[in-house]
Amino acid sequence: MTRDLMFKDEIQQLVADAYDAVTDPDGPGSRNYSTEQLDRLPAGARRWTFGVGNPVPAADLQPGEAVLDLGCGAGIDAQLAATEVGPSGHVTGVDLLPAMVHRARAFAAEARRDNLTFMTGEMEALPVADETVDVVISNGSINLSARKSRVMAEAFRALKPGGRPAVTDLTIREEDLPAEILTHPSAWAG
Amino acid sequence: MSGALAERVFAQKLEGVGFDDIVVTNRQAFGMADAVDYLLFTPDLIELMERLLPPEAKRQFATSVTVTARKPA
Repeated sequence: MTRDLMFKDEIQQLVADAYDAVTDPDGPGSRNYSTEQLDRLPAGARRWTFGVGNPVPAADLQPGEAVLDLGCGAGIDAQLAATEVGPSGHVTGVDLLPAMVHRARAFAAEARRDNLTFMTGEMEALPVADETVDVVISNGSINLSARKSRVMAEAFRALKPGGRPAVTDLTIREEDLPAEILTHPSAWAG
Repeated sequence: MSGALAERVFAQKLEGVGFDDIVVTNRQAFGMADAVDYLLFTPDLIELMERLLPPEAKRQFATSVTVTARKPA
């Protein structure tokens, strides 16, 4: 079955269904991290990582900074950022899926990090005030949004003047992929 | 993957909302082996990709990029 035009709610449901179908991942995204980074994390957080890169080193985080993680999933990048900004800093993770936010909170509690907050919310309508964040990170999430310019505009709104995004995401050349693949519903989440 | 942009378009959208100093700091190939591992590709989609993609695209059909930028002060 292929469908070309899809609406935001439909895409969000496809993404939610795809993640709900995963019950016992073995950390497909963990390959992107150094052993030193992985050693800082609870085993569950390492297993539930679906990122496609490692944005935290590129963010050049400093102690005391406020960080916002878009589409934080189970919180692996948020946890790594929290170690970089230290107790005087803070990391907020936002994810569309309540189950992932629940996992992120549990893994943060297991790691005894108290400079982390996780919220359910949309990247396209971030539940954060204007110009309150030093750095925005994201890892493999922006491509899941049907409104990417809106996501980027929301990141811009949340950042303080001089603030910086450091985001990792999948890119493609549409001419490399047949239409039958690009229009397959599960290709949105995959 | 269906929602992924071309790298150039991704950077253009960042610039379009006001960011500057846009730099791609890392690129990493993403291919069929990765797709299978990630579990988010359904079996019928994997089968379709195995059937339709040429060998070079099976090795890399997408690129993971890390991009940094700055909001003007």
